[in-house]
Amino acid sequence: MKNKLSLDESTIIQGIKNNNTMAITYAYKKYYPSVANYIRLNGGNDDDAKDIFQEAMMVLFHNTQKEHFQLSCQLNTYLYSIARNLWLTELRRQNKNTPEIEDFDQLLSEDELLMEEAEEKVKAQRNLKLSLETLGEPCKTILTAFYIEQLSMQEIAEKMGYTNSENAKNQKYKCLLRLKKIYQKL
Amino acid sequence: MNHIHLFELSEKKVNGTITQEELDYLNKIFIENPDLEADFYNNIKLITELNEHAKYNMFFKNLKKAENTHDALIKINKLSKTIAFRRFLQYSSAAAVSIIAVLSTLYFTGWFSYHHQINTYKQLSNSITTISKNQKSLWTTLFNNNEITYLRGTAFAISNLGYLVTSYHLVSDNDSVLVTNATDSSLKFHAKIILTDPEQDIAVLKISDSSFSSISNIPYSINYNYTTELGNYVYSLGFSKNSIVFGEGSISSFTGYNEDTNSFQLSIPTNPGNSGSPVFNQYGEVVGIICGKNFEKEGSSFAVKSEVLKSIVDSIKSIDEKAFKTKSSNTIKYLPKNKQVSKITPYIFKIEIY
Repeated sequence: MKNKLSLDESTIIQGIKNNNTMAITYAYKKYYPSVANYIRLNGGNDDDAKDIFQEAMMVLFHNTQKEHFQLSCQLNTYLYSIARNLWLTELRRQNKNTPEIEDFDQLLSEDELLMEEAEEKVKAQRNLKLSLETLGEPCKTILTAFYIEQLSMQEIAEKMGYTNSENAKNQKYKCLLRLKKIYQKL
Repeated sequence: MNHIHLFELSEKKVNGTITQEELDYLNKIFIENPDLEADFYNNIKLITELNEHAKYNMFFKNLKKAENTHDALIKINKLSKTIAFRRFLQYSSAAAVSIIAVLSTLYFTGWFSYHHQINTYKQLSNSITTISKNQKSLWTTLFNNNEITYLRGTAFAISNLGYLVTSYHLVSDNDSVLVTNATDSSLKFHAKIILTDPEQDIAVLKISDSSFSSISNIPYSINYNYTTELGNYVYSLGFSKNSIVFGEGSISSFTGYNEDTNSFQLSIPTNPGNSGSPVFNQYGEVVGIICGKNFEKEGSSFAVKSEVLKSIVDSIKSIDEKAFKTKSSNTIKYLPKNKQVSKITPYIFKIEIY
């Protein structure tokens, strides 16, 4: 039951950057408890903790995609700070008391700039995912095949039974239009 | 210009495959219809996000997987804790059952009557109480300490350097031991307790007086390998009164009090003061040391088997190399009983413990 595996931080970050399942699982196991503890102590439940940690990991993932990404502190501190920031924003949104905001803002004002951009990105990707999921057929299959499975238009045409790739292409643009409508409403 | 075409151009722009002609065309349209320009940039944004969506989606899926794995592990941990607790309950109930079983077994086999039985066992130290009647000094009125108690018992020599063996219970609470020779009562010595074995009820003393040098060679030997046989003839010499007393009988049981296998039962009549008396067989070999009797049953005395002396002798050897340098050989083996006794007697000591 015990995971004897031990990874150092740079390996974890590299793993996260390259979407390595094992590294992500390891990071989840290692860093989730302290975040969850913080959320629980500040009026959140387990589901809140999961959402916040997920968001924090997404922010981390986004930042690792940047070319010259480097951590100025320990990964644990970094994730904890992001999670704390996210949770305080969430509390603010819900108009709840957030007594810790002042001293927190002082502590990590630099990181907040990075975060805003990252958060926006993560939010966009989230909304996109949601839009794709609510998109009806055949658009969902076409767009998923093109953007996630990364098939060529020829392959998609064959898969979906279109006479040629030009037809498929037209269908794709129609679908993009529909997707855009859903996406912009979110 | 329809929206589909705009999307196509947007995609071309993102992929970098857009031609200068197309760009010029777009610029012309944007001037006519500024809303299309906003649409165009929204399209570009959406396509850019979509192009990146694969890896984010992948990361999201991996994250979800990690979350599920984590949840599952926590569930398993909780479950195993519950199982462990259940097992603990099972085992503890099993333990409780076995404890009850053991207790009831002990009860039915009479273990708990042990304390009753212990009352029937008597260590044969002779306790003498001298009561001073004539004086009522300040001391006695203050402390009511008008009783002087001392114990009397028997010891026998195992080494010509003055090592004596006796019963532990005699010397257990006292440190001042006085030994008196059986043949010459003017020979009184102080003795030190060298080592004790409370379990076997054995103590070893050493005559510590500076006037004492050694005693002549011991005529008897210790039979460490003596096998107790019922009916074997045995005799003993001890101080159940002020002068030495001879007693004889047979081995009447393989085991001692409470089925103790380290001792055996004798039919020699013993009395207080016999504790520490050596038990000899017909060949004048030490086969045991008298340690007690069951005073509820007549003629049942107990003696510690001589085999336990083996380790004690070895211990003495480790303390004092010279102790057994002079080999004692059995010189009385074929002598008649009365001759044996007279040869042995000088090596039997009366001990008084204050």
